[in-house]
Amino acid sequence: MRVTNQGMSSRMLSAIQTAQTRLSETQERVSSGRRINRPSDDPFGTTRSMAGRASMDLVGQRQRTITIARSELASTESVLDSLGSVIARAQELAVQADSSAIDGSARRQIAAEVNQLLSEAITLGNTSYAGRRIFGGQQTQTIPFTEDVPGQATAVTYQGDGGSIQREIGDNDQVAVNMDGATIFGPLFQNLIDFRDALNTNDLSGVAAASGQMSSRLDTVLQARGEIGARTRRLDLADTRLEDQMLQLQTNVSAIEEADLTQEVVDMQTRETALQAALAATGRSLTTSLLDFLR
Amino acid sequence: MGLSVALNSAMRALLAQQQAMDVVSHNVSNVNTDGYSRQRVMLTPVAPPAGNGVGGGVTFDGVQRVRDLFVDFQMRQENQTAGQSQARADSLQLAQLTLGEPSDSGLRSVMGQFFNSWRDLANAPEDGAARSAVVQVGQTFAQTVQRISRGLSDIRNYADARLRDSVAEINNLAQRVALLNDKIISIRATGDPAGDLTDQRDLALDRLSELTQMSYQEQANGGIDVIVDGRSLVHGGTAAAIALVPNVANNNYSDLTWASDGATLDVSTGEIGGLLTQRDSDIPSRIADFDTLVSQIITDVNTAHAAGYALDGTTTGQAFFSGTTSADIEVDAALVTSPGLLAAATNTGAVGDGSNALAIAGLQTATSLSGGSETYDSFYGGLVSRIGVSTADALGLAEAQRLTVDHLNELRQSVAGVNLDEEMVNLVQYQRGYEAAARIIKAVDEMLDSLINRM
Repeated sequence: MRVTNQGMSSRMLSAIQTAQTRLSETQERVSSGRRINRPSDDPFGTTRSMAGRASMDLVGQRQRTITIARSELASTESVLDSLGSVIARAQELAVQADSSAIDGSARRQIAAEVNQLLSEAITLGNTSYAGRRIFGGQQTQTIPFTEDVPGQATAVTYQGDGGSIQREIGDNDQVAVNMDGATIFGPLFQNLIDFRDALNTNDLSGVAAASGQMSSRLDTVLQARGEIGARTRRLDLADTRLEDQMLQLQTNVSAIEEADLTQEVVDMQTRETALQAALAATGRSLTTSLLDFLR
Repeated sequence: MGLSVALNSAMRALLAQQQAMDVVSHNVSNVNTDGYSRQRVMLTPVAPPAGNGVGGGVTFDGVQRVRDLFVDFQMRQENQTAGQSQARADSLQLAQLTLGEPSDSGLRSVMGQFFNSWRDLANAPEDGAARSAVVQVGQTFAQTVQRISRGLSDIRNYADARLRDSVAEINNLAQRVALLNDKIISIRATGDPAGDLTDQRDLALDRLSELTQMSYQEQANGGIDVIVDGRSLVHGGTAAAIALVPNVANNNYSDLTWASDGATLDVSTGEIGGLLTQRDSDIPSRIADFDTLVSQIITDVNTAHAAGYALDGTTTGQAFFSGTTSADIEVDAALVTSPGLLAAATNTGAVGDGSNALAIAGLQTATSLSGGSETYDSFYGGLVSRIGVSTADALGLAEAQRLTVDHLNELRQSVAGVNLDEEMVNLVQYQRGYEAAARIIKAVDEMLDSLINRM
């Protein structure tokens, strides 16, 4: 083929352009550390990376939810622990009051302490956690238990509902983080009120009846704590599963998105060499001319 | 007769070599001129007069323009495809830039944040901060959608603006070809090949073929007719014009018509062909895809929201989004002023109930698109991937087409281009010829001298 000056310079320019473009492609991958910088770099990789990142967002959200749910259950657990102590003390007092060694005035003193235990139990039933009443069902902004006579209740009304508070820990997988206040506290309050009143009126058979029911109140609390333990273990399992999933997703997304730096740096050097060769060839051939030899 | 014959033929040789050197000089001067075709000297021996066996020397018989017309033809064919693919690659590259995926700032991420904000609300439905967060992230989502929608529309606007520039250039080039036709026809009538003017016309035709789908035909008189969509754009010395008529039904984008009678012009290749496809079908179909996604999200979120109850426990959920498309989606103004209206609860009068917020968050993983086979995320992922595939394809095609044109250009250069070394050899050759002719004159002079002065 006949060689011409314009043809030669445009071919050289085009060779330099190509070498520079190819070099800048690897330079971009090396400096960003990413293999995919735009969808056209790898359309299907882009889709997979987007799906992976979407799952990571969701898994991260559920991990945060689990942390919240765990502390909610823990706060309920600690209330029930205190409630257990209240019931245990009431049981002790029932044993004392049952003794024929004490008289009516001693029973009235015991009644005063039982009244304190009642107030304590009501306070526990009205516990707030993170701005929410935890025993009111879905009525989280209403005081769940109100006394008809403050400090000397003869009846305690439940203002909450039986709704459950659910936390989402997976697709269609939810865990309730509240316990039904009416079941746990309602009978206990009545029990304590009956006990106090029987003590006040020195009604021995009433005292015996009330103290006899106390152990089943304690059972309810223990059952509830067992239930909380079971739910916490479910959260732990879900958390471990999500952590594994997150790790897997991170590995996948990195494999899709990240550049193989060793490979890229080697490529970059190869391409640099190619560019230098193109430049050197251009520099030499453009200076060679017959004009140098015609003297 | 006799010595004067030699003297005359030597003189003709001097003149011919001189003219040949002028041609060399012209070639050398235009070594870097775009579109220049080298010219070759045509020297012809002067035939001897009848009865005499010796010829009368040399005569300069004009110049010949060296050109391969078939390569020209092929190149103009390929140019049309090159212009079209470049226009496609340009607009698709802009489209993927607008989407900005994969990243943590694109719509995918914002969409994830939006549905996660509902999950946060489900975890604390009575919390004012969680409510405000849903509204704010909802606004960010709506703004991101609008930004993408605007970005895609801007690509159409940009294609329209480029189209108008290109049509103006086509009209200019058509006039230029017509003008050059006029001159070339009249000069060729005198027998001169009008090489330099033909080069200029070829250059105009090259550019014209990048811009529009066209064909051309050289007439016997040297004029070239250019045909676009079956009608003459240039015929001899007259050029038709393409007019741009705003189409109200199409965003006021310009339709292409013939200026003379308003008939529509249909081109599919060349830069304007590519731009028209991008403006009127390719990008609009991507926008339609995007709108399918956005409208579905608006409908689904609004429907689910209407099934719940606001913080007061009695008000049912109003529309969460106003607007119906990617261009006008907004978080409803009433919710922005009172986030308490967010319907997080499924039950009436249950302030701690976040189950409706969870139901809305659950829309993210529901397969509500493409006939119940795709989630929002996978549909959007598909949209991004389709643009990625098209862009990669368009870039590859444009690159391949550029290489083809480059190759043809090289072929053309190898025929028509100037090689300085070659010209230098020619120069030396003509210079020697000139010197030799001068030597003959000197010899004849000496012979005349001996004849006249020494006899």
